[in-house]
Amino acid sequence: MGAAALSGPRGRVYGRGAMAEAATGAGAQAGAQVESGGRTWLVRHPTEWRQVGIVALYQALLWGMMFVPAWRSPLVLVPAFLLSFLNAVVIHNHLHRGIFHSHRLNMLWRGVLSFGALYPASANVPSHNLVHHHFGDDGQPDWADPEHVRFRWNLLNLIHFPNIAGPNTFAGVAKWAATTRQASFGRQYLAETIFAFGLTGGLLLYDFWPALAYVVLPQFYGARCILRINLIQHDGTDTSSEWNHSRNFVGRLFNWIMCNNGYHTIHHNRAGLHWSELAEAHRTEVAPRIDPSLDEPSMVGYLLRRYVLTLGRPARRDVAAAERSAAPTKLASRAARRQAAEQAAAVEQAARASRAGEQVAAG
Amino acid sequence: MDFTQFMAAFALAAFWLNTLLIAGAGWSECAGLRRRYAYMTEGTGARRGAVTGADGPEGALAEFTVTQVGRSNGRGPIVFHDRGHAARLLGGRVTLADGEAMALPAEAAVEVWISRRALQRAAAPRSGDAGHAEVLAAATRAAGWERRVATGLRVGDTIWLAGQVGAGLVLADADPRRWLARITGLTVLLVLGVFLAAGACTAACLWPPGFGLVSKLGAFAALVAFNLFQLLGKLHHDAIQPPSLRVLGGQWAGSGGRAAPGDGGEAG
Repeated sequence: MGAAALSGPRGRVYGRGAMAEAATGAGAQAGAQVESGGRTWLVRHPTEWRQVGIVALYQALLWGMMFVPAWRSPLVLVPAFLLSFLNAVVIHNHLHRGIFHSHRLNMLWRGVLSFGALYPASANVPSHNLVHHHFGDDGQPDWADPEHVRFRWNLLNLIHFPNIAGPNTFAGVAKWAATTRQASFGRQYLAETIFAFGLTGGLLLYDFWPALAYVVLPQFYGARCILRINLIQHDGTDTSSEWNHSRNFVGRLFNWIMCNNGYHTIHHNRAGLHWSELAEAHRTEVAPRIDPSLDEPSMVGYLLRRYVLTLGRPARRDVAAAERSAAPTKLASRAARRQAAEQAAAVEQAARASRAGEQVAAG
Repeated sequence: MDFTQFMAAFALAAFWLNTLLIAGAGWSECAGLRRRYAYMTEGTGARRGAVTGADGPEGALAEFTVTQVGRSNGRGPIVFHDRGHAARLLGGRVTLADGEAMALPAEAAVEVWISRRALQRAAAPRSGDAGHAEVLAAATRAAGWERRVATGLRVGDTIWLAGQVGAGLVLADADPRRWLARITGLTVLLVLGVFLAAGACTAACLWPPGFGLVSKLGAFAALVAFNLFQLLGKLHHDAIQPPSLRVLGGQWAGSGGRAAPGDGGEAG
């Protein structure tokens, strides 16, 4: 499995070679130019240093609190919680598009990220890239579908959501792993699991209470928040629509910190686009086609309004009306993109079989 | 209490909050299902009878199908996931145990409840199915291999009928009240189980001396239980779905190059 595992039809991961088919946007081409023209040292895109910095800072806080008693204070722990969530955001970005030139380094980086979140980062390949990106198109609900939670008090849905999405995800990943043709997935997944749980277990054995308070709690917080973001970004949207399936958070500072993960619609529609290109693509492609209620200026404001100041879950609206009255787009429909991805997978599969046949004949 | 101890107490509170949510969600889902199917235990309830006439092909009164997609890596089993469930009333007559005869019109809204075992039998590979190589080739494609597992209620079958035509009708091959009792039992087990386990973990956490060895073991047990409860919540949710929506899943194991019922329709 390539570092740049892409969203494709459920049940398949495409290798690095398939990136061109899935990433058809201009941004992807721009990203490719950075990679091939002015080759950056170590990372594939200069903006990746922001992601490396986020993870480095997060790890520094965890290890500092673990081994330097003077660091054990809310002033360090609260940023560690926030950085843990960003660590999970980096997992998301890295599993769409590997940060480093080196394949091996990308795999090792997954291990580092897995420790930060206490779950194997490679789980994102089936759970996010292959399943979530297609919502219910494959006939079964997304493992993180907002409809999985049904408390009348909406705040409870926000708190409870990871309790549903988490086990759904890991049961789904186990099932997917049994059928994937990517033989290396199982090894990588196991290695990340052993590293993340082994290191955390070692810290708990070394000094239990600090490890629990300053390592495990931040790890859990980040992992559960990244599951929660599925509810935040998709509850009340129309996941069967072309452009109104996601809620966006468009604040500039928020998106700088979040590596543009506030622009979720365009990320779904152009999964191969580098995160640094999302803001512009959102402005040109999404904004004219999206219901204004799905373009939120502030996530904090939205959370307060939707989950604290309102008790019940808002009634559903026809948010997709906005795209029906908008100008046509050059982007192929979801169904066409899915079909193209399946065809690309079939071609890749046939080529692989042909290469294997040639090797047998030659050997 | 220093800051580390405060955070440990915070963790225990978070553990209890999520335990309550998991138990509450399970209870609430079960209560919703019991309300939805309350007519099975009220009034005439669920009545036993036999299919005495059918308008469908091969004496079928009603059919129930699960559309599945099977995928494989070409080496291991073909693993199925459900793509959709559908029930259809084809029309016919039922004679109830008290002698009353009822006509059931075709295309009326109906839920068909087929027992897990009967569904698994229908899902197992048969001699008339496509050959393993052909199925395997299709299952290794990105789109997978789609199939329909079809079963139903036929002339001569004993059935249970609950509800009314046009106002929620269930036709089952087993007493549906047993399902209601089962989901209630499972829910009570879930709630009692998580509360007992959480209580035991908490007692250990608070065991004197505070933050001593027993306390550590209790906190570690709570960490494990925190994750285990989430899994139990999912298993409970899957287990209490009405038979018309129950997950069939399953897999076919390759054996000597031909299809073999790995577990036929092992419920996923």
